[in-house]
Amino acid sequence: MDITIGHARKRIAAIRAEIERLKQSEFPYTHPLDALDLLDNMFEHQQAVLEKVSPTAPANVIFNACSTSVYLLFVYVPILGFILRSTNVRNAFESYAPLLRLARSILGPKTKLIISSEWAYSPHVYQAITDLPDFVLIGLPAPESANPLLIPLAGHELGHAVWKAESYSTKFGKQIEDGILKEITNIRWKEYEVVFPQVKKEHYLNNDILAGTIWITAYTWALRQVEEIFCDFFGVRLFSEAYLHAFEYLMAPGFPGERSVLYPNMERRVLHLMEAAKELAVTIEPGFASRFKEEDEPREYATKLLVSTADTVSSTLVPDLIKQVLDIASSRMIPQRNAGNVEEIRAGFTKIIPTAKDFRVTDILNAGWRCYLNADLWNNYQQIQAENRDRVLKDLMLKSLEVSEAYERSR
Amino acid sequence: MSYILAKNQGEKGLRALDLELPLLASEAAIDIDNLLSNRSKELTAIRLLADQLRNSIEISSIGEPPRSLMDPPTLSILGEAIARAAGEGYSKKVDDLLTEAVKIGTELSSEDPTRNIKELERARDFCVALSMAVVAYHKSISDLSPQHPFRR
Repeated sequence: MDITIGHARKRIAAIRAEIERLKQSEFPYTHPLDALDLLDNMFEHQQAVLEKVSPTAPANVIFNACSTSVYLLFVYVPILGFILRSTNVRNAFESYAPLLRLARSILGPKTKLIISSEWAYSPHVYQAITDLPDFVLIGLPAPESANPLLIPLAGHELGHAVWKAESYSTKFGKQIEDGILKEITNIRWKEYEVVFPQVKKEHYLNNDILAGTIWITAYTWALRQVEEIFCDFFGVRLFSEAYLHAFEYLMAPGFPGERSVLYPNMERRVLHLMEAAKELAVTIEPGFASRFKEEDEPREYATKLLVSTADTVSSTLVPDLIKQVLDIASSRMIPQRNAGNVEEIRAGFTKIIPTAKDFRVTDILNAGWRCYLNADLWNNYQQIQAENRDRVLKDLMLKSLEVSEAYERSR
Repeated sequence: MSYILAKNQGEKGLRALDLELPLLASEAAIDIDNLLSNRSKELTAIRLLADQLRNSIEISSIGEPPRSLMDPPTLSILGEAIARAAGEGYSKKVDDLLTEAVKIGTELSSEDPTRNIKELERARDFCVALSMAVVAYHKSISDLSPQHPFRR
């Protein structure tokens, strides 16, 4: 056992040494350094815990102590990589201050933000990190991390932080639990009886652990789906049309193959987005839904039944989720895209002029998207060649974000 | 304030998705083992886990069965940990599992946990089983996330 504990201790020592090296990086803002300090404290404690393990302890105690320390590495090594990549100049640093301000207006003044890039083609957020309280970590795929047109996707990722901060899992958990059990014992009982013959209806109704192993799978998937739907709605509320455009840019038409059980399938995800857009008075481009392809449902019958149950329950919560987004946005006084401002900024961009006023990030991003979607943009400007059009537009957007930030700081 | 106390402030209950939970349970198991072997008398992690157990179960004052305040996955994981620590043939009924969880919680928060060695050994095995079950649950969710098609 000595050797197993010894390896575990050395692994933690190695990660602490790596954190020390990371601290020498040139960070453009302080929050990544704060995160590294917190993570080092956590690993220092883990080192002390491993020091307490006696080589004569029972094998299950030793193995578990060593396994959980590996689990910590499994969780935190990618986050350390994320923090390191936050130093990279490919990130759109111009968007940092406006996004931090937005995050603080939603989540409170203690919020800390790290924006970085990921070498995986999906925007994402690291959430519920116990050792990084008040931190929001938002990442865009590396080839797009400097693209201001995709900043609206941060709205979805901020939604995850809101979901956690407001304990919405607890709020919606009971509705999901009731919905799943009703689906199983009432509506789909004949199917469940065939697929899981060892579990009787009373096992579900009496909250038997045996039944729990089955319905909790559907519950977990439904809860995750509901969170993702909420985050999409939150993105639409924060960034209006720009969110729908950014979503389409990154996600359409989708992949062939089986859908993820943790999200609604793409067809339903788009449908829900459109429902929310309608409620929030956000314009949907003609043909929006048709540009996403259907995903395959799972082939394995038990998975298919469980995910279909989760789908039904998560769908029923859509009106509640829209209301929740409206309520939280209103209570935090989150500004909405202003059509007049968007038009004014757009008019400037069409003359290749960044805004010289204090406009909100949502207005700048929406103006950018309107220009991006205008096929005739700058046709009269012979000095802007077609292949440079996107680059010039992105520069105008980033410069406008900087100008707005300068106004904010001069207040 | 120690690191572990700072992390577990407030009326915290058990939550399967809490990253802190498997670490706390693992540390409690180590501390219980050190208590059993007379190597140390460190009780912080043990007490904190006992508090979380207590905050997760409502005990009736009129003799009714205890009631879970946990979300369904957490209850399922707790049941699995109790059943594993108890061995084969243990009850699958939620009421029995909660009654057992209350007993373990009481044992962990007693003035002198070492007065009943047998119960303390069972509590140690429960802590290990809880820690493992929570990590397994986290893993079951992360395994569903898309991986690179050519990554092995």
